[in-house]
Amino acid sequence: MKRKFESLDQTADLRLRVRGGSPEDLFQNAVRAVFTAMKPRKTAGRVRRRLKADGLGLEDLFVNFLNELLTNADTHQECYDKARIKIIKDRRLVAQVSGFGVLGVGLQIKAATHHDLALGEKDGCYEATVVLDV
Amino acid sequence: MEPNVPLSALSRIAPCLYEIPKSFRPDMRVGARIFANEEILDEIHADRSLWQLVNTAAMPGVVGFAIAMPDIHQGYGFPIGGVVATRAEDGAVSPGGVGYDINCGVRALLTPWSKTEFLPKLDGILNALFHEIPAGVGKGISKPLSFEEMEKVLARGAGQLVEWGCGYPEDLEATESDGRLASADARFVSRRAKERGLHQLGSLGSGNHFLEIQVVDTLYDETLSADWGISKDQVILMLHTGSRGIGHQNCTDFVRRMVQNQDRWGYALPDKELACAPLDSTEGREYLAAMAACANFAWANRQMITHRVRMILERIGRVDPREIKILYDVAHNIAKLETHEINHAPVEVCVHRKGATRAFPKHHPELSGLYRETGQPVIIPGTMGTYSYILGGTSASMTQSFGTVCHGAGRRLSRSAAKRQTSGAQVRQDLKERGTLVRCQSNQGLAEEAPCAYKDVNEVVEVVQEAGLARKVARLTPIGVIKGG
Repeated sequence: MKRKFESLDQTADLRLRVRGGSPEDLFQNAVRAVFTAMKPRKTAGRVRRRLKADGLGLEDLFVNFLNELLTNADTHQECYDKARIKIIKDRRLVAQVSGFGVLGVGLQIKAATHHDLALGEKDGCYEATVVLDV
Repeated sequence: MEPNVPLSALSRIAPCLYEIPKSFRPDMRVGARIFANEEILDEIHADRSLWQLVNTAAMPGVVGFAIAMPDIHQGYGFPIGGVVATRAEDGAVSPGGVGYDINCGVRALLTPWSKTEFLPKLDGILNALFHEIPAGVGKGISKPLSFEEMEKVLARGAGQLVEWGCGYPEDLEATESDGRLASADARFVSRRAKERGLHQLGSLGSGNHFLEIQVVDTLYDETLSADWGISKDQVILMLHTGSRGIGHQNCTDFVRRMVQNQDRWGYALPDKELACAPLDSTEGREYLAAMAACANFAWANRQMITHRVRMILERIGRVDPREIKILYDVAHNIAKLETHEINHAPVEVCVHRKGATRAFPKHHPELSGLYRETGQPVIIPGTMGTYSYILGGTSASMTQSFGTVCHGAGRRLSRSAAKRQTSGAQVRQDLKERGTLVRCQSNQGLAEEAPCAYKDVNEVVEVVQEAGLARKVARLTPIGVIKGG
């Protein structure tokens, strides 16, 4: 069974490959992929946020959603490990994410980029590859 | 994944200079030039940085050549370690040509101590710096800025910190652009970006950001060293950080705006991260103004850290804080409107420096009185455990590279590859054996930033000197390192 997410080699940045059984599943796994890569040092207690994102299409929405997560994480000093996502016509989404406060992280991710971005579906499996600036 | 440029497409036109002609690809508007020796060129060719360099030669309004420094490596869109200039009149500006960490840069602080005098204090000072200078993600000052204070910092940069008592007027003279771009307009920095920065003024950040204690081990130009207050065995501190979250968010905001509008301007670029806007468009003007504001935050950030360093050194080292002088502060991720000679005529251009450092020669009108007669210092950090360099700007760089040189050693291994080759514990041990103490929260971060992950900074600097872009003034060796990871 293929892994839900993995990091791939990239000289100075972070390249992630994420998979899911549906676009929502893909985006949810991306949340875990990003914040697992960040190696957070947690504080006690859970946090919850409602997020929105939009994009020109599913790929653009993917990048914008990841950037929305990173903005919230950096602003509030949090990381997220769960998400419930509703995607509307591949151009908008609403999400409820939950996670925890952080004292710090092992790897800071500045932003998700459009570079070499690929998102597609094959045999019922959605897969995305994204490069993130660290 | 991008293809690679075959080595056969490059021709060597000078001892440390290669060229890819404009004819290599139909969308190139200018040729590309790479400052490298043969060994470095082989390393450069191992990733996709040359193809990315060729992509930048397709930028609207690009002039001269798309230029690669010897520390170039693959980025996302623009390579890291490149310089691209576009005509101000009808060219474009690209946030990707600056990077997410706007005004990431380096500052060198001169101390009155020799190595012998300093060593008994090293452990205590290193521990204090590690515990009292915020590093790592999210960690900043205990009292966040108010939005009103943030507006002042974005407008006035390092000067605002001096006004608040966190520095001296002479600090500004020893900072590129006097620590402030007057073109800043914080109205174009989003509220979200400002929010991210409120609790980050005075913090290092993580990854390859650092605070190092170094010793001058070689003087190459004794006259210039003396002019600049550098002496053999002198202890110097070097600081590497940028605009933190406010810069990252600003870049994200504008890349998104520009990606959405590429069709409006008829731009068809080979990579979305090259997204750009005409310099004379609303988006172009607003980006430059917002970028300038974030650059001001970065200078203020380095100024605040300098203030904290001075307080710590005063307390533990019993030194007058004014004796800790800034040698210089350089930006290596920035876009600036400058005048350069193109085909023997002065042309106003937007110079994008992404992982590349300005290196202006003597008499350049942009240099402050302090360095008008000598040219500016250029600070080139190595990696942990390797040398760093102080160089001096030359006039040759103005004709060859838009007054620009490298910014460091340049990565050659991915983080995963570096972790496969070594461990954080091994890096600590290796550095300790070389006489360098390390303070870092994360061993993983140390492994990812291990010296083996980078090109040889000595080779990089040799190429820059041999090409005449800058001259070596002094070499520094680290004795203490603080990493933010």
